[in-house]
Amino acid sequence: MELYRRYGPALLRKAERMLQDRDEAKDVVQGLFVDLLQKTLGPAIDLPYLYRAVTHRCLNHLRDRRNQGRLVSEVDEASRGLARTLLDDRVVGRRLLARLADRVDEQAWEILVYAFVDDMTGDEIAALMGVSRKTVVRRLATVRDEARKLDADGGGA
Amino acid sequence: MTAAACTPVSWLRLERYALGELDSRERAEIATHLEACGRCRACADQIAADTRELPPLPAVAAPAPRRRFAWRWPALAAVAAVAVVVVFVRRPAELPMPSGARVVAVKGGDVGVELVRERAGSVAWEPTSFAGGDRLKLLVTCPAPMRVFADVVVLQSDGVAFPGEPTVVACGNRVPVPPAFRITGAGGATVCVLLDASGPPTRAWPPGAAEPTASHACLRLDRRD
Repeated sequence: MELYRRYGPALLRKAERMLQDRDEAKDVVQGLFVDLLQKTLGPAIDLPYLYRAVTHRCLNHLRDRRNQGRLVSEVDEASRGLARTLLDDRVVGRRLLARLADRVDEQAWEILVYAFVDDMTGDEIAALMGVSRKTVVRRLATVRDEARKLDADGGGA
Repeated sequence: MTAAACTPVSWLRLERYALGELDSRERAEIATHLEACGRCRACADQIAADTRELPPLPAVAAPAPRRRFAWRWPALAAVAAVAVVVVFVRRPAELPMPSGARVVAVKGGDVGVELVRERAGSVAWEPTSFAGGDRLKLLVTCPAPMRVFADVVVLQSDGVAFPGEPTVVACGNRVPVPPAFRITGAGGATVCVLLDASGPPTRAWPPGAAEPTASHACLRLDRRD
């Protein structure tokens, strides 16, 4: 499958940054392409589209309560990669993503990933998600508030 | 928001840059940035240096078109041979099961169960043996929007092990049942999955009268190190 050969490595790196577990990242990316193999694909399938699809799958994986304890306890810090964008002073990794799962809604959670794991600008996030930049800024403010509350509750990353 | 003085080039743009998917203006902009920013250059170098091979994709047959029903036109000879009677037979919609999958009846629909073995980057479907370092994974195929609770069980001569936790699986085609696992004990093993649409299956083996709603499928593996 040409899409897999071309974009698979980039998606695997992206999933690995989010999940910090290479095996789980492989499962997520393989699962996506197995599903794609069984669909008639339109011409609009490009890397940004697949990036979003992998993001959703990784977030579902983190959202699954049954995965959370294991994911939080078995973090491979090296697989997070170089952190260039920080949430306040914190690197956003799997632990923090998992802990914010119940505190922010789906849209804010997705924006958090693009901003602090994928290092996207507000404009890039807005274009990728089809929302306004103002929405991105507002949702990031929510995320920041919730992360601070998490610290105050003693549950920070 | 930014750790370094620069506004970083996102991973997505760096990936597209590496793939040659950006227009000349954007390429030039990123090239200029990479010359000045060591952190972003390190990320671009990381992409370029990542030569790990992708796991192969399983061979998946495209599903047959789903049909609500199909018409058959068998001609029946009437006893009196007076007329030809046309009979319409209605066939219910069904989810195509992967060939080789074990099909288990669960409340709400059938569930196809397959085992996948990964060894040094190569994938074997429905293996009959395993070695020490092999990674194994169970996949289920069942019709959406059905959900089913699944729990993986590994039986060996020295006991019963549950590699993960009972997990609710949102049905679809070849959905992995977490976790992927390795078998460490000596001798062969039987890998099973407990399935229950009504709730997490009780962890008892063999499943018996206490679990009237649970079903299971098993596969025997020989050890070949």
